[in-house]
Amino acid sequence: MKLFRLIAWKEFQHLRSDKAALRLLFIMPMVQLMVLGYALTTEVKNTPYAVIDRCNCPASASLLASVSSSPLFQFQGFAHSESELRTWMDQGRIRIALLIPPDFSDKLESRLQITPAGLPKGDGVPVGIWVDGQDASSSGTARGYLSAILDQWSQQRLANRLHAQGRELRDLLPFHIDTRIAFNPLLESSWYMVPGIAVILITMVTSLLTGFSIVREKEAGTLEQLLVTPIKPIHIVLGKAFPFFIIGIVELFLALGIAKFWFGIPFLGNYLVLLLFCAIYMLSSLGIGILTSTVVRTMQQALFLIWFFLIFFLLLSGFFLPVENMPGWVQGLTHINPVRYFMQVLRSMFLKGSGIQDLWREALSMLAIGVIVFGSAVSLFHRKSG
Amino acid sequence: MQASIETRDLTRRFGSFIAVDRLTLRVERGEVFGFLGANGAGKTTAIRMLCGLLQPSSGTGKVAGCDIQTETDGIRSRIGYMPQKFALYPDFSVEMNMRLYGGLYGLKGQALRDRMDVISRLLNLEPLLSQRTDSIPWGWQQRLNLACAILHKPEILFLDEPTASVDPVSRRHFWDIIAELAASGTTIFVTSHYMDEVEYCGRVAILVQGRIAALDTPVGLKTTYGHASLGEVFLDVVERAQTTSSTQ
Repeated sequence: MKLFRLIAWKEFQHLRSDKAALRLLFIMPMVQLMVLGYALTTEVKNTPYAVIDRCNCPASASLLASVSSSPLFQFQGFAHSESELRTWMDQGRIRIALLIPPDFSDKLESRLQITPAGLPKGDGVPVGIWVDGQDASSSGTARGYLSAILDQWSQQRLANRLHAQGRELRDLLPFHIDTRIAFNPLLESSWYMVPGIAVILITMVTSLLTGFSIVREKEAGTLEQLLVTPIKPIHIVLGKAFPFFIIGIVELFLALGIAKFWFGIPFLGNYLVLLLFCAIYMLSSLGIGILTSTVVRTMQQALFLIWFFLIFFLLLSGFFLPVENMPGWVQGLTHINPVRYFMQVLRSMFLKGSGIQDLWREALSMLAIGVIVFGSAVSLFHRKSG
Repeated sequence: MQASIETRDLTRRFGSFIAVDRLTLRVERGEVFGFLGANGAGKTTAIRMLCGLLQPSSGTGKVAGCDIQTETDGIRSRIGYMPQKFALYPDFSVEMNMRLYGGLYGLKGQALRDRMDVISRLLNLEPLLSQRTDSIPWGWQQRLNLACAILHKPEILFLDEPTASVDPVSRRHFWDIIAELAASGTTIFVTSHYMDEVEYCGRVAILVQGRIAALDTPVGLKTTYGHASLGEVFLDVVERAQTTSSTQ
């Protein structure tokens, strides 16, 4: 125990003697959090679009006005032909296009010939949308927004016509929708992403730094010099992990402060429960660092191996992509991913104020993974160090 | 009387390569024992086994009365080890490195302070105590490494090529201290490929391809092989050993 403290003291001294690195250790993640908190948004805004208006009539002008007044789309110009439109799309100038046929106005008028006795005559007006499908997810969203704007415009036309006849569209519709949004009423992307970024920062800092600090001593030969003293390998490894455990907790609470006071994201959970969950989680992240350090010889190998694991853990954590969307066998894999659980824990503690009664399954899963990873890391270190 | 170091048929293989081959030797308390060999002759592997850092493939050994396979804890508190490569913390002050190593060997409080005073005086490290370790010259870093290895008054001191690339004056001073330690009863086990260094040893073993090819006092070796310097003896021994092994 005394020797564990000595090693922990030594590690803190290393951190203290490298003031530049220490500053970076806290400033860099915070800068990342502030920048990425804005950048990582799932919202689709300012989609550039172009139009071919072959009708060039008051009706098409009104339709186009409803699109251009939306902040979701940014008008890039009128194209004169489909090949011109295609060129723009090839050049990346536009991501979506709207095509209005020459008979738009006529067909629309005949379609709106509604009398109290009869249904409208003629076909619906064909309006074309062209989508750049490279980025499937945001193009899909943009297409949905554009269809919704067009639908709303045509509904409005219909409603006006009915109103003139003394009828109301909403009385004719079979239902109307009443939406209530829980936890994040304004659907702010940052409310969801910032807690997720915090998880990633803590994971990176604790696993990489712990791994590096052990491998650095391996490379310098100082680890062997420690091992030839009466200290037990377990004291070395625990003593070395301890400062990064503390740093992880400090970073979590710093991230929490930025989330709360910079982004205005409410944290509804309990701080002590968060501390407990964070401690359980760090068994895994510290364990990954230690485990890696036992199987590699150089910093380069350590960096490569830890990154290899982190990429998997992060992309399969539900950070960007919901786990529910993944194929069944990948979802199975995510059950052994500690980042997935902590991601879920932190997000629901933030916005839902979840406590132990809601999150005990995640806590137990993290604990099981943590004990296995940390335990095997420590025992492997012990075995390899003789 | 019990020997400080005693091994019987100590062997270490790495795959099919035999780094140390049936090493049998006995070093008495207070002796300065030299381990002479070319690069790759197995010196470092042997020293690592004796320090409990590496398990032997076969054979037995006792260091300071402790079995090298089962009682490594006992060995570690009784020996000091100074590796080939400088292995202290460059970002620490000289004093912090000493405090750390004293602490690792269980020294604390007044006892630690007293010991640090004695050793820093012995090695003339006093004016450097508050300096960062990476800011002092290489010869002094080696001295600090020695200081950290002897703070806890080890029974045996293992030195793996201790004065490689150290200037002659520092080297001379270094060996004066080693002689002093030996006189006070510390066993010194030193590997080297510097002939002048080995002259300081009481007895010298010449290691060729993991085996002891010759073992005697420096004077005895020179007489036996009929050479004026240990350098010539060494070359002669290596040549003969290689001829025998190639005729086998």
